[in-house]
Amino acid sequence: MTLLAVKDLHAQVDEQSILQGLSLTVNPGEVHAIMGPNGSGKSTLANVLSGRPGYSVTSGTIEFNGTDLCEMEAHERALAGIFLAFQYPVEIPGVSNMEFLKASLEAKAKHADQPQPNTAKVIKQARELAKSLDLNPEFLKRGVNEGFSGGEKKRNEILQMLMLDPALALLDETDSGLDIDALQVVAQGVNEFRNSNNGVVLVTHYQRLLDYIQPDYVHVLADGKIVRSGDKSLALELEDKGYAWLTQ
Amino acid sequence: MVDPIVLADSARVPNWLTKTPGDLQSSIAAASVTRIQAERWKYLSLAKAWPSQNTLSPSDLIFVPPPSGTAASTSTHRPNETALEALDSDVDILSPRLANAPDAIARLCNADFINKTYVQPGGHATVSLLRQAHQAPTIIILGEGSTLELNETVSPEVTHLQDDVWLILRKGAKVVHSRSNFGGSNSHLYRFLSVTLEAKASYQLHNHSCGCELHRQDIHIDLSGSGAHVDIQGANLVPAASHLDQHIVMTHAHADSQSNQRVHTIAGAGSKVTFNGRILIKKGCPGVEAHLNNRNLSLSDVATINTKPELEIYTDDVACSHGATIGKLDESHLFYFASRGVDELTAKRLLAQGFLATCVSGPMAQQAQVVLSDLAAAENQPS
Repeated sequence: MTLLAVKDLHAQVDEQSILQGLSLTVNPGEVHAIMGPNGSGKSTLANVLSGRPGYSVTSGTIEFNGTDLCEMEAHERALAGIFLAFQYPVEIPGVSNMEFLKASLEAKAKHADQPQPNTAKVIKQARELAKSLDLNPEFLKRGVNEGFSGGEKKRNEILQMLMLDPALALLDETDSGLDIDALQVVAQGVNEFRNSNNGVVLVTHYQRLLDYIQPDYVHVLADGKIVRSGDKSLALELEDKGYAWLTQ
Repeated sequence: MVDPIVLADSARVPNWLTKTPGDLQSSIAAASVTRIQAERWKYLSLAKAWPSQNTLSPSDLIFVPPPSGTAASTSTHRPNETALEALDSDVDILSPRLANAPDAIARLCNADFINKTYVQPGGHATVSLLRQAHQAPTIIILGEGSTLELNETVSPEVTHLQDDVWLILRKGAKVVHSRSNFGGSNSHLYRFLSVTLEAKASYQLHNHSCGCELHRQDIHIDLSGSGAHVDIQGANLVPAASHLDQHIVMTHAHADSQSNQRVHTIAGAGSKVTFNGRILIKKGCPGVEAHLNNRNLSLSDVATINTKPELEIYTDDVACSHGATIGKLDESHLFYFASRGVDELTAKRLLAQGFLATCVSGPMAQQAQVVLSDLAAAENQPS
């Protein structure tokens, strides 16, 4: 079954039309890279799919595992298996990363009608994942993203993704602000995550992330719709020529 | 833990106590109940709390004996003659302060003065004291270099409380003070706290409040010695239709003293919250560092929150900051939770708990965390 089917999607933010007829299909096991110039609607797409308040669909359809996504609240979409890795993860003082993770896992278990997760096991798994992502496990005791560097916040997003094991991961410019070492660590996390049952939509400005995460498809977004699709070679071509030749 | 003992022998009543009541009674008689308009800012009416006059009853006096050595004393022996003489000289400093209590609330509380008094004359010692707040003042004079852990509790069964605490910290003395004002839905609390610090004395206040229908709290702190240090962490949860009226005056009367205040308050639906934090730095006090931060979170559209952080500085070469915020739960935080599958109600509960948690600290933090969390959860339940 198709994981995500977006058809002729029009969406707006603050009454300003951003997405204008976007269509995209993601099947299990696929990694799709969404590229495009500033203001083309890349992040809007990620936010619309995840149900962020303020983003409204004016026409078109979004189906996730055959279910109409537009009818679901943001937390219901997450429980259905959609994960958004934020471009700018928020800091929440007073709520520890571990409390946040635990609440997320408990919500997931409750939704799936499964037993609540064992706290000791959750802590153990989180600490191991943190180490593998070159993140100090002690950070898990701190407030959510509190005092984290930009790179640490992005790695924390990947840690949450690996813990929650969603069916579809939307990575919104996860590579922005990362140095080359951090980029490799994050890419390694994504590669560990991807399998034949899940999908990844990778929003990025730069081809360099795709050196470490091999996409199955590359799409170029301009003026709110996909103007060109191809394989990895399209990203290389964009690196060489820029976006102008596609958008003029 | 030092156990209080009752001094029944009126012949041994220290001189300061026999002298003070007359002065105090005339002081109280001269003062009338202050009307709400006359109070400095946003005070609530005190009329209904005005007490009946009380007279000194020496048999009601309760003393905490001076500890021996550096370990906490557990003995309950009567204070000997030497100890009482020491009290006389120590408390000379206190009488004028009592007679000239700075606010109506203090005068109000002082009207009950001399029913029961705890005194810790100090010495180089470490003492832990658990105090059940009741309608009586507590006077603690902590000797040079001594350390006190003072834990105060108000149980939900208390319906009406007028209470004041006076602390004097001698040179180098240290106090860690936890106040858990966990009243019930019918509780009316009027509490006054005065703290005076001499040189290099250190005072930490962990002030937790929730559950009271009406809670007025005045805290006056004087830093009167070089190197004196004060740290206040306050976490308040004001349930629906309740009223918290909180006033802190931090007076830096000496150079090179430091204070830091952080007070977080959650206001439930229909509640009223008043916070007035005033930092006063007197003339000739260079090197003072004073900071005040008050944050308020409203859980509904119908809460009333008034906050006024004040700086009054008469000396150059000081480092000060003050600030206050009033807001609702951050939508971006709620969405972050939602993006991980956490429903709005659970997210609000966790965020409210987290907002308070940053100011829940001290020896009684665990208990405070449980009580505040439970109430925060209750406040977030749909009505």
